[in-house]
Amino acid sequence: MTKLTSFTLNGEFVSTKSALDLRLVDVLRCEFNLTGTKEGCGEGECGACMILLDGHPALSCLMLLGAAKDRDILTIEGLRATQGFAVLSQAFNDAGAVQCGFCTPGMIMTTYALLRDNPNPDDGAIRAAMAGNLCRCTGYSMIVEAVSLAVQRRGETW
Amino acid sequence: MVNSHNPYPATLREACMAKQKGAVPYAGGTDFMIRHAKALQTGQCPPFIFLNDLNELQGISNPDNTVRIGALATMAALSVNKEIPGLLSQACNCVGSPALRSAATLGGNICTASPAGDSLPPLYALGAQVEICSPAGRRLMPIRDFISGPGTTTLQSDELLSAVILPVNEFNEFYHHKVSPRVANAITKVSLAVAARIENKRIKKIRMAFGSVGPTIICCPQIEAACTGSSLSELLSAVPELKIMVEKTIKPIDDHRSTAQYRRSIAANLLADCIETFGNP
Ligand SMILES: Cc1cc2nc3c(=O)[nH]c(=O)nc-3n(C[C@H](O)[C@H](O)[C@H](O)COP(=O)(O)OP(=O)(O)OC[C@H]3O[C@@H](n4cnc5c(N)ncnc54)[C@H](O)[C@@H]3O)c2cc1C
Ligand code: FES
Ligand code: FES
Repeated sequence: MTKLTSFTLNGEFVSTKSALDLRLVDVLRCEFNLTGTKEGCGEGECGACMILLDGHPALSCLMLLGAAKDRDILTIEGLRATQGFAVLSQAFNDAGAVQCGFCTPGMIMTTYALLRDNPNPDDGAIRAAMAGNLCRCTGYSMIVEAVSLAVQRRGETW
Repeated sequence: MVNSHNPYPATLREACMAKQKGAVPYAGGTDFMIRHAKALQTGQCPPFIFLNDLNELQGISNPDNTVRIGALATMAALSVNKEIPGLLSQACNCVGSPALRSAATLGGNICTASPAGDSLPPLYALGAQVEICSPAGRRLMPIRDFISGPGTTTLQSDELLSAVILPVNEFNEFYHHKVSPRVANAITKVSLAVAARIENKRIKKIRMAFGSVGPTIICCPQIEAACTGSSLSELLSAVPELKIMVEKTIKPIDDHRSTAQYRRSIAANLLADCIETFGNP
């Protein structure tokens, strides 16, 4: 008996026959070829694998495919199609918040959810929301600056 | 994976029966994924059941002067909930990172039974009871009897943790502090949770519990007895003696996160900080 796992992925209804005990990050990257979601630590510590699960930041390395059943998943590729992404990527670019870029998709996912729920976060709120996203290159000041830039520029984008 | 059962049990009974046959419960998965990381890589993961569909494990309600928290309540939900004692909210908000808190459940934190489990000191201090269910029915027991050692509980093979029951309005002042090397994703080196009833600047009742300074959460009946009945100013002048009592009560060890000596002095300082906070609101 093959079990189908169905969920919404970047706005589309999808199903997979893959084993329920695959990690979601592996299914996204290897089966759906959505390689924008990165694996850094694989232990829930770094946020490189951040997706939005029912709209909220979630660690795709720390959940099984089976736990994604009937849920709504957005990856950086899904966000890319939105105007919000354009604002965020330009802000990260202009603030110099990207060096190797490995942490950036996760940072952008977290930022998108933060600004949707809190359109005007101060420095403390930005740092609190981003506390689970690690960057090995940039230093966090530029990243916080990028988020602040996005706050100023986003208007009614999302 | 050899899942001979339905991995998505629809009823508690079905879930308990699957667990009895060896299926491991998966709540938020945040401990599960780490514990079985190697096995997941090699396709050797034990059979599991997702608890998420079980309505009985969801929700927060207020039956007669208590609050009942379903085992699947997440740290994120508890951090902002106004019906539960603030002491517990504050501790839940110290767990991991925002995304981790959206997944991690209270039931998972309790069943993992780590001496560093951040929800545990508040639950001990508040006198929490756990509700355990099996095909035979439900039973209640104090959390301090449920957790039997580091990483172990008295849960039987056909049982699930269904809820946590807390008294409300028993205490009116709380203190919580977690000491860790950074704000996010850092396991506790020492923590203290205190629940007190203070009337006319006098301690009517006080309960305290330390995390990460022993094989399980450390309760302090002697210190509680020494504080009860005292006025806040009496307590402030008793701080030196109380600190010595803390050092004698806790059982810290050296490990890769910290040293026994550091934990001992910080634990004593936390109680002093608590008394100063109560004394100078
Ligand atoms: C990066 C990272 C940071 C962390 N930071 C912290 C921290 O700061 N503080 C802290 O306390 N913890 C921390 N943890 C540990 C973990 O996130 C918590 O213990 C969490 O509350 C576990 O809940 P869960 O729902 O994810 O549990 P799961 O992983 O789903 O389950 C944990 C265990 O309990 C069993 N179980 C779960 N629910 C039930 C139930 N209802 N009945 C019977 N058995 C059950 C499972 O079978 C499993 O053995 C961290 C973990 C990671 C990966
Ligand atoms: S890869 Fe998931 S948190 Fe690091
Ligand atoms: S830019 Fe390299 S990890 Fe952040």
